[in-house]
Amino acid sequence: MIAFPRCFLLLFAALVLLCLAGRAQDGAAILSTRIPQCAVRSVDGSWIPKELYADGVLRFTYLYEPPKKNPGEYDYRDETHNVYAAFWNRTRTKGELLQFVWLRRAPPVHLRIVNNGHIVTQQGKMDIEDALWGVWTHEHLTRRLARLRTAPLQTAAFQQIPTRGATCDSYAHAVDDSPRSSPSNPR
Amino acid sequence: MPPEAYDDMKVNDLRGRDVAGIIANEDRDVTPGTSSPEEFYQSKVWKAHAIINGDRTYGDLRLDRVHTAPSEVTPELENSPQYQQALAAARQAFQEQLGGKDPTDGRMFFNNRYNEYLGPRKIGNGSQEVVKRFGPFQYGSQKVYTVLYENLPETPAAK
Repeated sequence: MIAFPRCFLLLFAALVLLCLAGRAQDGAAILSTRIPQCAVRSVDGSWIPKELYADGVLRFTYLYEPPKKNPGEYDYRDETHNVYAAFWNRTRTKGELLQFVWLRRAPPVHLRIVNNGHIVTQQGKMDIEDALWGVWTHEHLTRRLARLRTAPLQTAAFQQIPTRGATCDSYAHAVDDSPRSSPSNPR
Repeated sequence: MPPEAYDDMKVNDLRGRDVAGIIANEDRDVTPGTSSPEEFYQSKVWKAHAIINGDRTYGDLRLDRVHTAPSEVTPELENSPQYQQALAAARQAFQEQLGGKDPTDGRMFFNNRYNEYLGPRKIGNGSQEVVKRFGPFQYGSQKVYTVLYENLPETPAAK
């Protein structure tokens, strides 16, 4: 009598885990394809210097951060889904950091670049130069860069990067630039 | 109107105290260094205007376009003189915007540069020209400049 519900519960739990693992895999597959696409084929052109893929191959690592239930001091406290991508030179000493907000996560996905900076190495220390905002954002990005440094390297042949299937825009040229909220005067 | 009245007043989505919180976080532990306290304060007023302009332009979509630090501050920071200065700057910027004054002329992008470079900021296939620079200020052992940039051709005007 008790064995059946237990089996049922175990089966249900296994199905839920399989489903979650499948979703994570789907997310990884989406991001590994769409990040390079949105980095070099955004509506406003390429955000990656050509010297980083002079041999026709983009090398990058990425990190996906959904909203956190218990955000730390240098975490966002909003509901945005953020993706951080570092595009590297061959030796992973120099590159370009892009921060995306993942606006639509189901296909056709929408990734928007909301910040960018140059990855430099000076006196053996890696840093980010010229990203937007102040020291909080700099620290926020530096902490992500430390993880991007050791994340599994992905590669994408430039010629094989898709041109369709995702909306790729940026803070410089947002696709739907009509503000949702109308009130605009102090009240 | 007393200065505190701006703390809970909204331009669009952000209250005066939210603007102060963003500035306090983004400027945390930056000190005037060799620059005057007045220049340091003015840099915060300009940043307050820039944040207000982002709010006026994008409202509740602001974080999908200009994703700054959160507005929440730690209790430690909230009780610090640096937060009080950020609050004073936010109040002044609110007051000025209500009176139709905006020294940034609608700009909303800023950052810190840890060198004296005054050239444009690279973005995609284009660039952002420098509009104004403040500093040098001090952040730990580093000199830091606050730089405000031109809006982008596609940026809608603040309402």
